[in-house]
Amino acid sequence: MAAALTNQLHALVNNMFATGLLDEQFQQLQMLQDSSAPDFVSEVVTLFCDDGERIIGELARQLDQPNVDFDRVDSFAHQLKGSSASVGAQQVKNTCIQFREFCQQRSRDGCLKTLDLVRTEFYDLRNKFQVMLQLEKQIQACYPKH
Amino acid sequence: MDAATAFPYGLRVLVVDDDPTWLKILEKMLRKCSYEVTTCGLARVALDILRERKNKFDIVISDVNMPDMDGFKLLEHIGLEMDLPVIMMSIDGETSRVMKGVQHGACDYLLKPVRMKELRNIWQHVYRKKMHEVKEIEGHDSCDDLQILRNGFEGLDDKSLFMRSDSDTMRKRKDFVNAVNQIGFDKVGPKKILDLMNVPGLTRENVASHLQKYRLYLSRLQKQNEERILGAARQDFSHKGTSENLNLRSSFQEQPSNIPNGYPHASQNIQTQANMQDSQLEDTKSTVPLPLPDKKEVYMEGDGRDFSDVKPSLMDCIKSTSLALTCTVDSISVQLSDSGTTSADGDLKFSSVDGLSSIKNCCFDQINSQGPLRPSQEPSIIGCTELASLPDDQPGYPYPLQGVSFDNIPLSSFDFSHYNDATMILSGLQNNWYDDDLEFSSETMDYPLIDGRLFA
Repeated sequence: MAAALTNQLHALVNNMFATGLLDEQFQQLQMLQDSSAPDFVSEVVTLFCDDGERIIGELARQLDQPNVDFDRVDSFAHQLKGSSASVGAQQVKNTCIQFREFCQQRSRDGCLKTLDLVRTEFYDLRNKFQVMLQLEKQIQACYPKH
Repeated sequence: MDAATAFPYGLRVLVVDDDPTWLKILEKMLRKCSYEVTTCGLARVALDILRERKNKFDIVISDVNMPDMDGFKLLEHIGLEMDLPVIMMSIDGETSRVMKGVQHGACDYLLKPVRMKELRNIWQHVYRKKMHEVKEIEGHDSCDDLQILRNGFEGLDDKSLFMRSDSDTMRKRKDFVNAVNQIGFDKVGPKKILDLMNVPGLTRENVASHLQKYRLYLSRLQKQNEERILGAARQDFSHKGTSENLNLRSSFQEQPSNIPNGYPHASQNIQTQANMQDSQLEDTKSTVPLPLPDKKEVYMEGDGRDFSDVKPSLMDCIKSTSLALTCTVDSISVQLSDSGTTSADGDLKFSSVDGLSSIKNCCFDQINSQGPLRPSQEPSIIGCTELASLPDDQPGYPYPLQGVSFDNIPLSSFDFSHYNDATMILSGLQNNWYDDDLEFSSETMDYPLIDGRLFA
C-alpha cells in the first residue's frame, strides 16, 4: 500500500516539475524538511495556498473598480510573484510577470485576461498540492508511530 | 569556545518580510545555519522590536517591498538608530533597486529565491563591521579628537576587548585609573601612565586611546552638569532664529523670577525639550563664565579628592573637543534630517517604557518633529556617544553597547534617578572603569546621582 502511494506521489511531483508548474525552489523546500520540522513542506505549501488566494481576491477587487489603480494592482501582482517564487510555483510566477507588464501599460483588459489565467493556474497548482499533501499523509499513516 | 559554538554560531538575526511564506522559509534556512532567528511581518513592529531589544540582534534582513513601510526607509531607520548591518532582499533584481539599497546603506542585497549558502555567509557583514570599529579605535592618535568621536559614533564594539577575558581587562582598567590618580589628572600623559601601569604588551597607543576616552567621558559629564546649572541660571542665550529656539526662549523668559530656585523648573524644561536646550547651551558655552564655586560644591561630595585641579584640564578638554564635536556633526545632520520620522506629539514615553531604547526613540522623534536639525544641535547627540564609546564588556552584553544605543540621547537632559535602566547602564559603564573602592570612582559614580539630588 505504502509503495503504491509513494509511487503515486513521486509521479505527481515529477510531473509538476516536468510541466513547469514547479521549479527547483520546491526541491530546496524539500531539502529543508528534516526531523526538527517534519511537516515543513506541507506548512509552507499551505501558507502559500492561503496567501495566494487572498492576493488573487485583492487583484479581482482592484480590477473591479471603476477607476483601476494600476499601481495597487501592480503591487499585488508583485506580492503574488514573490509568494509563488517562495514555493517554486514557476508557472504562476511567470504569469505574474506578464501581469505586471499589463499594469505598466495601464491595460485593464490585459490585466483582466491575465487575472483569469493566473487564477486558473493557481487553482490548478493548489489542487495538485492538496493531492500531494493528502498522499503524504496517507503514506505516513502506513507507518504508525509507536 | 569549541568550533561548534564559535562565531558565527548563534548569530542573532531579525528577519522582516510581509510574505508569510518567505518568513517561514527564511526562518528555517537561518535556523539550519545555527543562527538565532526572530521573524517579523511588519516593518514598524520590527523597529519596535529593535528599539526595545537593542543589543539583542546582530543583523537584520529585510524585504524591500512591504505594505506598511518602504524597506529602504526601514533600512535608514535601523542604520541611524541601531547601526546594525542590514541586508535587503527582493524578488526584483533591477540594478536601480539594488543601487537604491546600497545608497540607503544596505550592506548586501539578496535576490529571492535566496539560497542557503547566501544566508550562511551573512555573518561576514557583522564581522566586517566590528573589524572596522576595532581598526578605528586602535589606529587613532591620542591627540586626534575627531577620530575619537568617529569611533564613538561607530560604537565601541571592540572585538578584541570582547575576546579578552573580563578579569584581565578589569585589572588593566584598574591599573589605568590608579596610574592616573597617582600622576594627577592634569599632569597625566600616556607615557607616564604606561610606565606606572607596567603592563607587558600594552602600548602607548592603547593607553593614549583609553586616556582620551576617559577625558572625554569626564568632560562630557562635567559639561552636562554645568549646563544644567547654567540652564537654570541663564535668562538669555543666543539663538539661531528657528522656532524651537523661540520656544525655549519663551519658556525661559516666562519665569525670570524663578531663577534662584529655578532648578526644578529648568530641569523640567530641560527634560521635556531635552535635545534642543542642551544643544543651544552647548553652542553658547564659550561665552558663559562657568560658576566655579557651584561646581566645587557639586563635585566635592563627601570626599577629599580635589577636583579643582581637574577642572582646568577638563576645560581645555572641552574647548578642544568642542570644535571636533561640531566638525563631525555635518555628515550626521544630513542623515537625521532626511530620516523623516516625525512624531506628531512630543509624547514622552518615559513613564511607560523602561530602558534607554525608548527614551532614545522619544528623543529621536522629538528631534525630527521640531524641524530640520542644525549643526549646533548635534553636539549633544554626538557627545553622548563618547560615553557609549567607553570600553564596555560587561558580562551582560554579548556585543556590548553597539555604540548607537546612546547616540541620540543627550544624557545631560535626563534626571537619571528616574530611569532605573539608564542609571544601571551608566553606572555599569562606570563600573567598568573603576572599582568601588577607588576614590575617583565614587565621585564619578555620583554624577548621575548629583543630578538627581539637584533636580529632585
